[in-house]
Amino acid sequence: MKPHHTHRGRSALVLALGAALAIVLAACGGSAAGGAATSKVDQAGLTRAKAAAKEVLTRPTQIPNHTPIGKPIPKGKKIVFISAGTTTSDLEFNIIKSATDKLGWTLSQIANNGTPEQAKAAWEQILRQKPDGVIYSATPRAYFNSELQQAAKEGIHVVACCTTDPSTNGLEYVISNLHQSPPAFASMADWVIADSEGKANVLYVGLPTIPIIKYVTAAFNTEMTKNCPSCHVDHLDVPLDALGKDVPTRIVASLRAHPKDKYVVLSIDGAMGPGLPAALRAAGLTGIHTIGNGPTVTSLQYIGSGQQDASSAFPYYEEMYSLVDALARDFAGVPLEKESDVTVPDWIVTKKTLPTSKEIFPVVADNAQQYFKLWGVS
Amino acid sequence: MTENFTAESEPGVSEDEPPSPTPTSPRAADNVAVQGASGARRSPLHAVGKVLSPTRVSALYVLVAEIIIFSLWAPETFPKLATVKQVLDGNAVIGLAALALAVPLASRVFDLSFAYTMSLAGVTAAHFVAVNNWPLPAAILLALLISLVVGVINAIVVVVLKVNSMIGTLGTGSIIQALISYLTKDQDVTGARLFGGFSKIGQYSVGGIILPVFYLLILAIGVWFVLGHTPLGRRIYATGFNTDAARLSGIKTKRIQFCSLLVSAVLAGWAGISLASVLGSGSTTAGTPYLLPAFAAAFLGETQIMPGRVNAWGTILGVLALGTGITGLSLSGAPSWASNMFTGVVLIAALATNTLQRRPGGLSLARR
Repeated sequence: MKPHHTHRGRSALVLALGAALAIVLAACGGSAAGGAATSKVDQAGLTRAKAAAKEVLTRPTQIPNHTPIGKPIPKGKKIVFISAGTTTSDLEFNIIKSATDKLGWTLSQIANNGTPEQAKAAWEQILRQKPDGVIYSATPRAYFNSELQQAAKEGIHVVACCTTDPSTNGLEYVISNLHQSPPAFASMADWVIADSEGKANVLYVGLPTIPIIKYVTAAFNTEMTKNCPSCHVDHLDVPLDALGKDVPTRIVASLRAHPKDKYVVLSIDGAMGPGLPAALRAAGLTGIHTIGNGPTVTSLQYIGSGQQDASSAFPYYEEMYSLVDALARDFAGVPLEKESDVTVPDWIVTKKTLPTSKEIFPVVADNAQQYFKLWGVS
Repeated sequence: MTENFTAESEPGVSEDEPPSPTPTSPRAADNVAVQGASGARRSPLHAVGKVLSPTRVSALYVLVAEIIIFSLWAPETFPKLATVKQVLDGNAVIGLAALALAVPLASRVFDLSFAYTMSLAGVTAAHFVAVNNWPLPAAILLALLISLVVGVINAIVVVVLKVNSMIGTLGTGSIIQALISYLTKDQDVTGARLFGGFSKIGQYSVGGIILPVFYLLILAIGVWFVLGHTPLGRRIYATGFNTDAARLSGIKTKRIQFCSLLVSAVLAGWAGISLASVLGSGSTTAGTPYLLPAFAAAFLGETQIMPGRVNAWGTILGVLALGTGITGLSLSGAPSWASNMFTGVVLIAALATNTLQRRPGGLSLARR
């Protein structure tokens, strides 16, 4: 009997050691718990933040593009939209369709689930279909670089949204690029500083897997440091597979570990926010202010019902129309507007300013009408 | 997994006990558990030692190790009542999903569609409450009914058409997700009414413990009773251990596997409704992130309490061990990859330990 019990003891030891090893290894990569905001408020910074926040809380009226095309836009063009397999793909398709219909173009979609293989397969299909223009969203060009360059050689115009890839080598125009996305996060920082009167302790929730997050997080941190040196930001990075599962639990744990943090900033509102209000309530955490970037209808519902403070609305309508605008300029033989002159509208919505909580809305209320005017269509 | 289902290597039986016979009749199948339960007369100390044996409750030792390590690592936040509540509240839906898998797994069928059924039930209930203004009970009933229909389709595919359960339920899951996307246009179902009575299903708390934790407890008692203390449960296990032997002994194995898929679908439906209530919306993809964690908990649970048999309390222990570790890592400021590594290491360690223990002579390490 004794040897048998020894086996059991050793196996338990092996198991416990395995668990302990996992915990200790994990600890090695952990970041030390941060401090807290100091009491001295930088009044000049606070004033700057309040001015910036005031501006961004007002609904924008300017669409990204400015210059009328001034030439007839050819009709009958065939455009293909390659979705990224996300839940907003249908929304993006419908927005683009409302614009292409107006220009007398036909729009079709190649759906894929966002995997590299499917993205590549979609581009192989593009090369067979030979449309006049291609719009794609949120997919690294590394997955289909050779096909993209081949498409360009065959005269297919390609524009994209929401990628860190620059507009070179066959990709003619990018909106929501490396330089256009970060300002919204600087605005969120200003909102936090203004709302807290320059005394914010912040928990910033990031998702390192998404390349753009690195840049927008840097913009948030820079603005916080610039306008509120006494504020403190703790960072919580979550893995991709935590989305939709235990992000709220992780946020609650982090808030308990950093009890002075009263502001939660979600780098991807729609993916990180669902379930958070309930988790905060269940944990008895009160007085927590939440702001995110890119709300879904669930986030809008939270804002409308007072369970979330604010969200930086993602300009789906403006960006999709801007992509169609770029293709229209290509087909009309007009130079594209410089990306540095294109400004993505930035609006932080609150319960007071929320137009609706039932659907994603244009950030610029008359976005479509303004574009139709630029294109010379009624 | 495969060897756990064979009668000749029936796990949960230590080397000093006789191996369980392959059941040759329904009554013989019933007797399997009776023999195991009565066994030889031993001292109470031996009984306690047997209950707490590392081969039966290794996850309990992991749990204790976690509590000690995290209490030392994060003394200001971990050893608190709030942590207990957080672990329970944060893992209730995973527990419900894992228990939904328990019955089909015990009868040797996989239900990979359960995660999609969760999404479907949540979206259905939310839609009929928020959009169609149906009374809450009617919307829930409809969502459960639709889940049952999914179960019937799964059962037809797996039991009647004899498609491998892993492939068949993966296929039905894919169809369910397509159906959800088609009907909702991939937009979450929201509405002010979801913050009324509907939200109480998943958010109402008693002493800081949300209702899904109580659903989990009730469900665990039910699964424990049926699987462990009824002739039906013994027939389910017999079907799982050796389907052909069970069928030859007179057990209606097809009927058991058919019904287990119905049970799984309805329980998954309830888990999905609870999740939708927690989220305050009918999310079109809410269930899919639970696919792997629920299977991980169920597989870990199979190595606990009654090793080799999928069982309710083992599953709960698995959920708690994994949930406590992940919560502890979060409280300690561990990096984002830590939870996945922790889950992987614990799973492999638990399953490897269990497998090595069942080899003649136990761990080879001990012999050397």
